[in-house]
Amino acid sequence: MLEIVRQQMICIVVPGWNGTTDLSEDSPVSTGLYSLFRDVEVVQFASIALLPARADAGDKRPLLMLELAIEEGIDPYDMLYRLVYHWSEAMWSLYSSFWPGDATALRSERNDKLHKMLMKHLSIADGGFIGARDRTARQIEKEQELLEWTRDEARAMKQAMLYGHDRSAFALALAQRAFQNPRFGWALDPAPRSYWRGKGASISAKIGYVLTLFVLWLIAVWLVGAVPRGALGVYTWLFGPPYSGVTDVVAFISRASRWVLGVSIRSVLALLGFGVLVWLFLIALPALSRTWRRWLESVGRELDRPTDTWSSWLTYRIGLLLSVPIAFALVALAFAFIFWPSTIVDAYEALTAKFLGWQIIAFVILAIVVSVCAVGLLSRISQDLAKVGNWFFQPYEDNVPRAQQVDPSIENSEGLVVRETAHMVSLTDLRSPNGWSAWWIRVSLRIVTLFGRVIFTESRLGSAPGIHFGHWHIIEDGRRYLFCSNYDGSFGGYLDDFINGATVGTNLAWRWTTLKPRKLAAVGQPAVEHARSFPPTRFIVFRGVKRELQFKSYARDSMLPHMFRFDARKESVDQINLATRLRDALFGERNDSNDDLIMRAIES
Amino acid sequence: MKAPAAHLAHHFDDIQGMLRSGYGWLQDSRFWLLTIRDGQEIPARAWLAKFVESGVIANANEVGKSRTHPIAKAAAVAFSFSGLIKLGCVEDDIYPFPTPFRSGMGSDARALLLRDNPRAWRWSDVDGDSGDAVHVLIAEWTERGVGPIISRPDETIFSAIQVDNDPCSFRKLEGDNEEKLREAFGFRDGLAQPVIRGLKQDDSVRPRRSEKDKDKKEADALYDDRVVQPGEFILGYRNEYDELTYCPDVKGWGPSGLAKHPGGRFALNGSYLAVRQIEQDVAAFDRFQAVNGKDICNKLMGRQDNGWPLAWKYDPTNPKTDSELDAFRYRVDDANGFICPKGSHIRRMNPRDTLGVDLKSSIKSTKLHRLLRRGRPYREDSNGETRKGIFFIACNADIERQFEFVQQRWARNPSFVNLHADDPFVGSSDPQTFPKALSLPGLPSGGEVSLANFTTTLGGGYFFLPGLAALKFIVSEEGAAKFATSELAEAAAP
Repeated sequence: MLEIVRQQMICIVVPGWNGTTDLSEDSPVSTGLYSLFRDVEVVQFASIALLPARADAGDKRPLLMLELAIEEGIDPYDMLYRLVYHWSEAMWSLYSSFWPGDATALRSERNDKLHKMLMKHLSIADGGFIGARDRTARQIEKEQELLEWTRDEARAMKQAMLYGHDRSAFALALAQRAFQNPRFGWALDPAPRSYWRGKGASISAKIGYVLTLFVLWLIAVWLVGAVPRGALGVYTWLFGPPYSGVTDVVAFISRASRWVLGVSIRSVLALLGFGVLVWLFLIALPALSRTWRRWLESVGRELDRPTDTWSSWLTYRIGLLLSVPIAFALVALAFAFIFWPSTIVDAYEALTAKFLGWQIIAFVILAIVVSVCAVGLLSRISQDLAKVGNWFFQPYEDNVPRAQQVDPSIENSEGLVVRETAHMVSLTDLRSPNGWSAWWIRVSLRIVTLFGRVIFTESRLGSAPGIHFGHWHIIEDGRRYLFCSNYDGSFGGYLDDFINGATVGTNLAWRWTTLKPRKLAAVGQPAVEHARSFPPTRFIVFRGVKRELQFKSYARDSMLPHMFRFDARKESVDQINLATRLRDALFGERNDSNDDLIMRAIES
Repeated sequence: MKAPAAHLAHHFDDIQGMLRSGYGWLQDSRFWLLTIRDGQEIPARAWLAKFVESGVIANANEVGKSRTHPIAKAAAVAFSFSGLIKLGCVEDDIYPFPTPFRSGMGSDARALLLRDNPRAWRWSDVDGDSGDAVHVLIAEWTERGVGPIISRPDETIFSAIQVDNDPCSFRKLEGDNEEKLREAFGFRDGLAQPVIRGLKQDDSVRPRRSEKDKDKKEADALYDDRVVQPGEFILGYRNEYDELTYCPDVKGWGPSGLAKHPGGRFALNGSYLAVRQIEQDVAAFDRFQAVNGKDICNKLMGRQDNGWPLAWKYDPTNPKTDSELDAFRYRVDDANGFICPKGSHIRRMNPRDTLGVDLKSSIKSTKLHRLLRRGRPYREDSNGETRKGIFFIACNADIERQFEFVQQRWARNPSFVNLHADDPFVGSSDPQTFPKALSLPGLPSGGEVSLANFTTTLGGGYFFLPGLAALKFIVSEEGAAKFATSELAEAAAP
């Protein structure tokens, strides 16, 4: 399921670029690539950038990166095949400098060689998110035509004063005209929606999926034990008992199956138990108790607080002191429950043998009272500290050197596309040890991708809007980290959306990276002269990107300008969604909400 | 060990007064755009030092007492990046100025990013087509009829552009109890200003917390919508991210010992000004109004011309303060823009609670892009012709996140909230390729009006408004110039 998303966004990073090919806007290579991507129709976005070599790399030449965002369901092998073997040979003209003097070779040989090399350096996304999904570039184009046609038609109808003051009649007339227009025959079918945006959009479908999988697992495990047992029974009934070895093996399988069944069920129970605790403390209690809610909010705020203050420092330290032992205790308890449930039973029996029921109840009540008092005392202290005020919340100087600096090449490439979809390429290094960082990043990215695919299906990742494609790649054997994204808006606004709307995901995706100094890839491109580190996180997901200045400086310094850029459609994600909704409203059932949608679309 | 950050309350006497108040009671104003002639740096510094020493540069402390002891005149001095260089400041290597300020509003990169291509500017903050860069901006405010503070800067030292205020801009109309600022098209100006936390008591803003105002709970509740952290406007303090705003530094500032806050950098207590001279085509607007009527004009602005929100019925018997006139939101009452169109000027410049996933996050994110406006209407009489406009000044602490974002993503973005035209007033565009228009949702079957280019930008620049100690450093003989050897200055010159 994740593969389908990951292979939609691919990067081909070829080392050893010698920089002889002209990639300026009107060069034959660029125009050739442009018409190639237009012609194959399934490439939605493409860009080329030069990645500077690592400072410690043997080959100091830059790497050539080709980024492709393609439509769903196409295998990268087929995609590259289609591009490489295209009659225009635009791909060869881009990559021919890797084989200097080889231009006379047989065309098919050349293309075979190129295709092989591209496959070797291909990297499908380690994680990614697609905003306007389930739509082909062709569909976006046609729906945009429909939107513009509808606006023009509405303008003409208004001028002719045909429908007076009745919005429904107006919408109905528009729908009829669209329906009768042969240009829009394609719109009779509702716009396609993938499973998680369509039938699987409800929460019950998602829970149902998980439940079904679990039940199937239980059945499978049970069958593994039951089938040999049954077979043995039938055999014994027919022919008498078999060799004792066989009986022992069957008995072992049967025991193992029962053990796995028990562990599975208890694991789920333990997870549910955790779920109940989380629900109790993070959802139920805050809803019931104002004090608890405020306390929770203030803890979150202090953990996220970007500046150093005593309040933040103390919260973090006390949090560490309290949460680490509690977390360990809970996990130990859960493991004991899952794998050695008898220890808990034994412990309970030992306890009841020693103490009477009322004593145990009294002890539990006492424990609750003590913890309530402790929490009360702590919150009292924190309130008093808050009253002491200034010194407690007063921030300490935080020196982010060389902040708010943008390389002219980055500024220029942003300025040139200010009326279109913005684009960023960011290249950072993995923190050492690389393998450890890479593993964590991969796990985090898979989680982000899964959530993006299954839950955040309506163009927002968390609550960050305007992302067309965003994808992360671990490249160069886990040494470096590449992030490419095209989005609506400006760099700063995009990062603001991430900081405020997808804090956890952004921290997870970036916290294992750092920025090491590197030389420039070519004249006029940015170099990294001073190392930077990703802003430190707390408990993995807090703070980090909330340190806006440091995060933006980090991202800015890691950026590289694009040398070539192809965008099949220039509409913003919101416009794409508006046009699709209009299509479904015009050609769907006639009801108030569809009428209203039509009117709003033409009024926008 | 890190040092504690500065306390805003301890630095009022280092902050220029215009950050605290728009000087509503000082109705005459004048702006000087000064270019220091080559080789005249030393006399220029001396002239500026004399001006600073004359004590007319008001600080926030003096302005704070304005309720009881209103000051009779005030001035402010700000410098473009080329001006700072000209006067001998050399950027620090570790804490340089932000890129937008260094490159200047007049640069080609900014023309693209601010979406105002093509430009035909008379002046800007960089050397180029519009002439030599403006180095110094002096703003002065005086009581009506008192006359200017500066008669005329020395012609041998400076080449100067003078922008005079429109004497008719403060007017008292029916129902007003006092004269109020109106821009050239006749709308009330200066409303909906952010309130800086810790620097309240602005002349027009009054928090309503007392017992007798209890029937005005609504205004009270929305007061927090416009309270913004000081770091959004003043460098070195907490901003809306709860972080300390980045403070650039210059060479020699530390050793000079002028820093009021121990270890405080040069830019502490300063601010950036985004300045634009915007000419308004009053005749075109009047023609438009004659054809379409006043209601449509109000829809373009998003407010009634008397300053009341469109959704409110004007009641001259119940006058409201500017603060009360700012107590409204869109999300609940007017999500679809039936009353105040989504593309109207004020809804673009301050979308309040509309852009995020919910009310709280929307207000939070809007606060990241607020501007403190300190401009005034101007009038220019030349060749028997009167031209009017607004000398727009926006104070902000992060040019990229505030002024440039608002200009690029909100005002001049045709696809802002899925519309297909840009701001009805801001900027001009080619009527063939990119016609100005405004959608008016909610009329019986929606409506759309075509607009002329009502405004033209004549010039613009980014200026740094230093704290008073930093100002002293810039203009004194012992200050910046001492640390700028000629080689350094050459290397740092843009």
